[in-house]
Amino acid sequence: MQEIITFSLNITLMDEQSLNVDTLEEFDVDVTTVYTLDSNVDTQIDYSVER
Amino acid sequence: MAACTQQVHLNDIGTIFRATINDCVSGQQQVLDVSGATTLQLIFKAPSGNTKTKTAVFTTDGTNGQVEYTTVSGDIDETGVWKIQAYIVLPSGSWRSDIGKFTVHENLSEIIYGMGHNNGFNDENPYTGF
Repeated sequence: MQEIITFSLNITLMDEQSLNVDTLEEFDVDVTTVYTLDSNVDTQIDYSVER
Repeated sequence: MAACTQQVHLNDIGTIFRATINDCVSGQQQVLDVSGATTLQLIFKAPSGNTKTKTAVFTTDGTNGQVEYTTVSGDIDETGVWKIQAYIVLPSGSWRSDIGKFTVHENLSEIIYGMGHNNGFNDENPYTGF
């Protein structure tokens, strides 16, 4: 006698076609990067990216 | 012949865990040909949270998406609800499956005698039961 336990497991092979809006929403990020143009000058640009 | 269901019990050895790997294409389940996989693993997570990663083999040749692992001593060491997940590496990338569940049932006695098997006795005190 041998017990056999069976499963059906799903894998999603991600490619561009399989990406959709719902998936992209999971990866929403809010990135803020500060660039200093010249360390001798007190000037900087706040650069913000949202996607 | 009466209907029955497969059950996994604590310390079972030789139980085959067979997974059919499917790809989800446009919302439809399709068997994934895993014959080209370079890594095939089944990951088991016990109720306590301990995980065991086991190398799986093709049930046939992998073209039908079926991989399996046969339990050995020490694998099924907790009762309760376990989780199982497949991990495969194909030339095009590596993926983990969704997570399946199965229950490991208790035994009447887990008294270990000599050869490491339950001999069927169920005495309250195994050392005075003979």
